[in-house]
Amino acid sequence: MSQADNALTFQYRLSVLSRFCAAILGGYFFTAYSISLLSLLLPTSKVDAVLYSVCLSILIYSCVFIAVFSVRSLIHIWAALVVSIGAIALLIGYIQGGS
Amino acid sequence: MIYGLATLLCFGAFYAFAMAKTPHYKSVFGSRPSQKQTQQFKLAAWIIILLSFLVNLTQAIGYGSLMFCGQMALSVLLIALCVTYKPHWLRSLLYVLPITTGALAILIAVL
Amino acid sequence: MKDSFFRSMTWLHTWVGLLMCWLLFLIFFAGTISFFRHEISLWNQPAVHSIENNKVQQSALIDAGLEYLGKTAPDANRWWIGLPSPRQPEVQVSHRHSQPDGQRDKWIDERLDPNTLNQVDGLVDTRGGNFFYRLHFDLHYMDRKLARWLVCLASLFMLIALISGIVIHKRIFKDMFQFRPQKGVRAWLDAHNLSSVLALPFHLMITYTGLVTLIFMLFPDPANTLYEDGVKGFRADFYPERQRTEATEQQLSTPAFNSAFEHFRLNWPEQKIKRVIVDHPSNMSATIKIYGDNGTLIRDEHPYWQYSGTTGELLKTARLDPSSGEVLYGGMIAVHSGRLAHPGLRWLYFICGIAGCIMIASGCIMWAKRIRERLKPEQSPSFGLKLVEALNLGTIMGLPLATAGFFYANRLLPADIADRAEKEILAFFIVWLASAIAAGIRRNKRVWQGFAYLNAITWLLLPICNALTTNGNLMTYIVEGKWILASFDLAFLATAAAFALQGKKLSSKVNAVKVKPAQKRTLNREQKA
Repeated sequence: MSQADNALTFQYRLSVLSRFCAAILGGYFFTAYSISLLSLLLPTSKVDAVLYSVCLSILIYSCVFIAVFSVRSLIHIWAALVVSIGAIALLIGYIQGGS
Repeated sequence: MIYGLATLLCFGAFYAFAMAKTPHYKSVFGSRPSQKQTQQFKLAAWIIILLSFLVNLTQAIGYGSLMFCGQMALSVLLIALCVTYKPHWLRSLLYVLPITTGALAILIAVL
Repeated sequence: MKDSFFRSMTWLHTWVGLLMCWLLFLIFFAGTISFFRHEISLWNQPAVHSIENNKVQQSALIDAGLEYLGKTAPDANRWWIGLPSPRQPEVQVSHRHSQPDGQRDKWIDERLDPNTLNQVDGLVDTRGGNFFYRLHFDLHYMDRKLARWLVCLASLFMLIALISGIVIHKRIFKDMFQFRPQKGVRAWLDAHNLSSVLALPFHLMITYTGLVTLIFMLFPDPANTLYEDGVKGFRADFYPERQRTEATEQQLSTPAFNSAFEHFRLNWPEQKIKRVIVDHPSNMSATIKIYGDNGTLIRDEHPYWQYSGTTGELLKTARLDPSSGEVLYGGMIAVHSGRLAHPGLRWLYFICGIAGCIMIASGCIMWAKRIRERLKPEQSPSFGLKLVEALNLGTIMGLPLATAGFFYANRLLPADIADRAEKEILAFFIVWLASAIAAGIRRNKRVWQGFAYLNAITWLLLPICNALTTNGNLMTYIVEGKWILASFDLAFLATAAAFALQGKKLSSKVNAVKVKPAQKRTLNREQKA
């Protein structure tokens, strides 16, 4: 907190805002895509696959949220989020196209 | 009634957990506990709390676990309030608690 | 690296907690009260207080309900019979009527005394516990969808605050029983730790499962991936009982309701029934839907049987043998709503919920106190600090007061006033608004103390108000064994006592920090040892 008081500069505020965006929005889309992938991969019935993946979603979301706030470099965070979301989306597209 | 027994056990376990801590032991009994006493309390606490959980589970796995969570909350609350405001109440509990729990267990076994 | 992790978690805990804490307090408060949703509905409806607990068999009650509905509402498009439980002594009979030109169908609710099978007279228009239940996730005076998204965001923040809290307060388990009421800000920290640790499994469970209850709004994606028409398709698959049957042109002259129930009782004699719904009762497409009672099973959706109303044959069953995904999902929702709980567990749920409220409240208060302590004498508090303090006072002290206002309104408003249910809710919000305004004007210790005493007096007078406006009072409830109503009076008194204690505590702090005799004794003993 003392750092916050000392460095309430515009840049600091912007970086905090960016981090919250990464955690809330980035985490949201990461979770949404990864549970979609999970539901495709689960070998159970369709209803069960949906139910399992939505029940897990909050766990994934909160892990990503915490991770975003524990990694120091903002650029790494955004890069990791964008790359992983892109990869998962491609994988989903591949599986859906194949079947 | 069985849930009552489990609650008593749970309360006893947290009583032992609290007494395993030197400041609380001191405020209740007035003297410093020996290291052996502390260890005994801690061991007893873990055994009793496991027992309490098992007693809850014998009734129903899901419902029993929910009861166990609630019982833990209630026990910690009561112990914390006693330790803060009425520490001397806890002194007699060292004997009263095992006796009541035992009596209730026997009563349940007989019935 | 490790050090910076803890620092960032501390930062996260503070800010995630503070940003949403008042909304979270409201959600926790309303949720905690809604554990007694049906009990509040009972309290709010004095006409059903005199109903004795049901001793009549379910089959007779269903027959009576069907007969009653057949007489009073033959042209309804749906009948609904809710069977009595220990929490709801009366039989609920409702019927729904189509409205012209696309308006929403209209429900008419009535109730039967299960022992005499007569209609209960003198019902008042009230939302009862359903108000708090809805307030818990729909908020009020607000678009429902937006409110639910806000509640989701707040719950997510709560979950993050809990996780980061566990990470940063490694010592919370060590100092689990510690509470030092005489030590200023430390006392609030102790209260914060104690209330979070003692119900930590509950807090984590209730927050996680709370998010799961709204999960298909939050994450429709798996359903969208697997089903052509998304969540709608999933729901059709998951809830076969929600499929509509359309009415036909033909009228039904001899309904086969009896043979349907005979078949049910013959094949599932042990199954208790929760409710019975009849769709298009006087039409050839009549269907009977029977929902089984789950009892204390950790399961949300009810086992379901669907019979034809014209032939009495079994058309469909669902959830007699739930799949593992259903058990997981339904189980999460069931432990959140706590519908399965008997009075013992219900009270434990309530205690844990109150602990959650205290956790949130002490967190917000601590934040404001710390900032204020750090102010230099000549510095005037910033707008942010003032806002936080006003919101703290207005929410933490105002909400209980508003709840009492809701109960008073229920007893004191005339029975025949128009839109009575809405006026009760209005009373709740007026009291809350008034508290918030008072908090906006001034919020020193004296105002806190004033609010505490005001709360104490208000809650203390509530049982008296109840005794004066209804036929019962605490004594008669105890004598007649009406434990639900008796516990209301006792809970009101306990709330009053708690607020009085707090007021007293604040006044001793206003004057001077005095050492109480009990503490002196312990101090002496410690010195001797």
